[in-house]
Amino acid sequence: MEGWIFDIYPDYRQNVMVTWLLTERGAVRREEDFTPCIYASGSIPELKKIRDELGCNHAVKHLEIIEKLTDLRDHDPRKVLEIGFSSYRSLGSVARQIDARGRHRDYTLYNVDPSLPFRYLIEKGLFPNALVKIGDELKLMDDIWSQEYPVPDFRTFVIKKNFRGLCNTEKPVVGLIAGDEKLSGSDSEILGNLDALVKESDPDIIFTDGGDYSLMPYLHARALRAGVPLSLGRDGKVKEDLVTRERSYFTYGRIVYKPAPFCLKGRAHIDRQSFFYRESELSGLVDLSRLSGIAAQQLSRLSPGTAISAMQMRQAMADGYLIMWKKNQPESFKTARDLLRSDRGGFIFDPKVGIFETVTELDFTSLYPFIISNYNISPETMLCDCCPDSSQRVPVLGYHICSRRDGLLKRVITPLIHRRVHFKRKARAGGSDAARAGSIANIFKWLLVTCFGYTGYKNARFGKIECHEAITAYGREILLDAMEIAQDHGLEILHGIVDSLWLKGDPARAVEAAEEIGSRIGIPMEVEGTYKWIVFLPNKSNGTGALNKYYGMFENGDFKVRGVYLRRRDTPKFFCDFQEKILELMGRADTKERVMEIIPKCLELAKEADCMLQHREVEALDLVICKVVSKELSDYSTMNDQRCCLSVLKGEGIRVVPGQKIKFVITDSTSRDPKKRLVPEEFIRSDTRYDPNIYRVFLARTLESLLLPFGWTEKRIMRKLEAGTTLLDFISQNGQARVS
Amino acid sequence: MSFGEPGLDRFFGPLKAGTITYIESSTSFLFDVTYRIIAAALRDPRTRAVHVDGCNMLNPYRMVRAMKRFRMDLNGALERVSVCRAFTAYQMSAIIDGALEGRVQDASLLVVSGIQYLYQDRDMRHKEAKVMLRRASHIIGELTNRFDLVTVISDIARPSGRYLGDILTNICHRHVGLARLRKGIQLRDLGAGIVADHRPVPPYQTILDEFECHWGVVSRP
Repeated sequence: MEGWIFDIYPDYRQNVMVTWLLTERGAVRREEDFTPCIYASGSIPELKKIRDELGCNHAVKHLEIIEKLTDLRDHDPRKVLEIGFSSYRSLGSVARQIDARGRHRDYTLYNVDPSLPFRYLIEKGLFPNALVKIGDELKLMDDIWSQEYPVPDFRTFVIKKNFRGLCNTEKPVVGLIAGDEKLSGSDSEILGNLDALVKESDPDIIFTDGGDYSLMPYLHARALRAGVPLSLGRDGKVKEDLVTRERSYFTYGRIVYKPAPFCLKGRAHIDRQSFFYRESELSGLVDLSRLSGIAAQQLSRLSPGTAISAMQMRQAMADGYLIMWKKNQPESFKTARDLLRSDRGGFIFDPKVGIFETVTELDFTSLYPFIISNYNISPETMLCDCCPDSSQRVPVLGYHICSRRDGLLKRVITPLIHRRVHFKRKARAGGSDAARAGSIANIFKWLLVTCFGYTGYKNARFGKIECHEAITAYGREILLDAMEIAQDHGLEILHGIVDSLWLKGDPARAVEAAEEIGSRIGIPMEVEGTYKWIVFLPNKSNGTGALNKYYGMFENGDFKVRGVYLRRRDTPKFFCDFQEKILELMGRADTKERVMEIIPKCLELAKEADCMLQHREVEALDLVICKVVSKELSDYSTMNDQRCCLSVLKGEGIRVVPGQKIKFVITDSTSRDPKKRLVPEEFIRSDTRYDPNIYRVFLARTLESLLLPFGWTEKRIMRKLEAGTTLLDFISQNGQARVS
Repeated sequence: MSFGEPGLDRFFGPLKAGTITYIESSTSFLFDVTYRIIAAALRDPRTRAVHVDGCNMLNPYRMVRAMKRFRMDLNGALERVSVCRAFTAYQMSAIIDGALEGRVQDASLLVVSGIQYLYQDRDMRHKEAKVMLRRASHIIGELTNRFDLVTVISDIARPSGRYLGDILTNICHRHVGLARLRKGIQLRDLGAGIVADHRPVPPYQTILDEFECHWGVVSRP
């Protein structure tokens, strides 16, 4: 019998690995003995001592001093103590004991933290969603690098709440949509029916929207209260499904909230709001799951960086290297002057502010991944010990790169680049498989974007800050070369940012320039398109060109918009729609003169929108502002909207942790009373009256963000809008007015 | 060694070779103080400094800004500062345990920033953090003695982490806290109980005291 590997997890009681396979006859559960091992390095007498001490530990199955490659820089293996475990739960505690025994210095431990399913699959030469022949052993019938492979026909099931408001565990479930059924009745009836429905339809995947964050914990909490045995997984256990806790963490200048994953056993719970699912749907998730060695359910909750890290680990382990537990390779000492030279990002050529005609945008395809691949950048090849006289030097920085062997990063990234190019081409070609190809290409785009950042990330397994510096150094040189080539073709450079150029001039020459750049540099450069006109926006504070803030219309009539309110997640729907209408209006113009002619019409549109706001004709839900909470309520010192919203939510018994989003509509922006100042989205009613004055300011800012290069500042727009308020408007807004 | 700013010098006095000054704060003025001492030390062209950073404080542009106050040869001064960044406690331990000794041999000033911050990482067990920080601080103390270094540990603590500053106060000769006031900064010598207020000025602004200190007394009407 054949089947696909669907889910793998350890059974901590039996100390076996459980694999769920999807076959033609349904899901099959399989158990297999598996001995996970960790490794310790140190002086041989010390290792022997540990071996003797652990000899009487019941959790340990075997102990042996063997030779292994411990560092990517190693050419020869070194002696390590292999410790095999009969009790899965003891692996972490024994590792900590050894580490503490050596005062966290004398021993280096390896292979401690890769998950058990991950190492099981690597050891067995398998991967998730692989087609296998089921016998005493699982025999692989699939190729991990295959681009066209059979996938099971997943049975899916959707669980949605059928009520408005929050999932408050103090309140009963009043309605659910489960599959095609609408469930209603009492708490216990709904939950009992849900359990029965899931068992009856036996889906492989349960989809929810925000299930990790609210719905699943809510349903389980209510089931527990009602005494209903709700088990959504295939093996009937509920408690063990909850593995890790929720957490908030700081990344790229903002705080992010990650809910506790609500994973099921034997079935997959996929939250459709998760990043990977949003970006690539099931086909991308399945493809990435195969390559990363992480089952789709877990993968959907991870970041692209974790996926790329898993691929690197997989490659290193497959090459016979051990994975260091507590990575401690520091940056090399350098002078502050060298730091000044090396600690830089990509090259930026400030845009010229204003409107321009006939502009072609050229983009490098996966610039940084190609640099890693073409120049062999990897932690073990950068400043290697084996060839300090290597002729390959990083421009400006002078770091040498190994010329004797291909680095780990190169070996991992190169096939991913080719895979993305393949699926991107396939998606562009159209056809029945185009959607799947597009999803897969998209997921690899994110993966490749992340692979550069991970070289400088503190928790990256195979990161090294010098690799990060080298990649940006190459990137700067490459963009400068590309600019020179473009200028040689008679093109004027309007803007350049890291891997893209905006060139004014004959589009045919721009195409020629792109081809020459690609062939001379060795990294393909694509023509993103030619704009009929493009507007580069200024920084509001100083008037200089803002990076990545522009909008323009391609020759085919499509728009490309970056950095304006329309693109921001916190912009209320009403203002997004308004900006879209403005762009639609501008889209009627073919030339920059025509665009200028249309500006008065844009202002009229703004007046109409303002009139709707002042008459409170706009739905309050369309004015909902979304913000991310950056700290706890008690940590706020100023009375701002976030603080007020948190305060109102707290009054309703709802706790919001840093990183979570809050949504609210402003009812009186001047009030210091949180309840008067705003209403959280969950409590908006049909009679909620928003504050038209503050939304007028938002409207002016929204328009300003598009028209600033034409001299329309927020102040000027406000004057225009205020001048438009009639006495009738004033009376309807403020009630009866006394007119003398 | 001094800060080259009368207000700070009055409070700190000269920083003597073979001593460790531990400055703790949650204000960004800590960064200014750190760069100030590095810049001031480099006024002497024979001086070399070593800066090990653990809290992403290391910013050569800010360092240059501090140096500009002393009108020194910037490239030459930057060449005399050895820098290294640690992003995890394990990396910090590896630096202090390994390469640091080789670097401080010809240096007069050692600055370690954000050390406690790293060991307060919530992914690290408290017991382990204590053992490792104790060892690191012991090595810093030993190097300071052996090479007659002026050592400054400028540290910030994570508000959510368990406090580990006690380990550092055990090895320091002076423990100073900086707190933000409504106008200015409060300098507090936590050992001697001395408190002083300080009003820092923007980086390119010189106060009269400082001007007089560097360029002679100005006759006032």
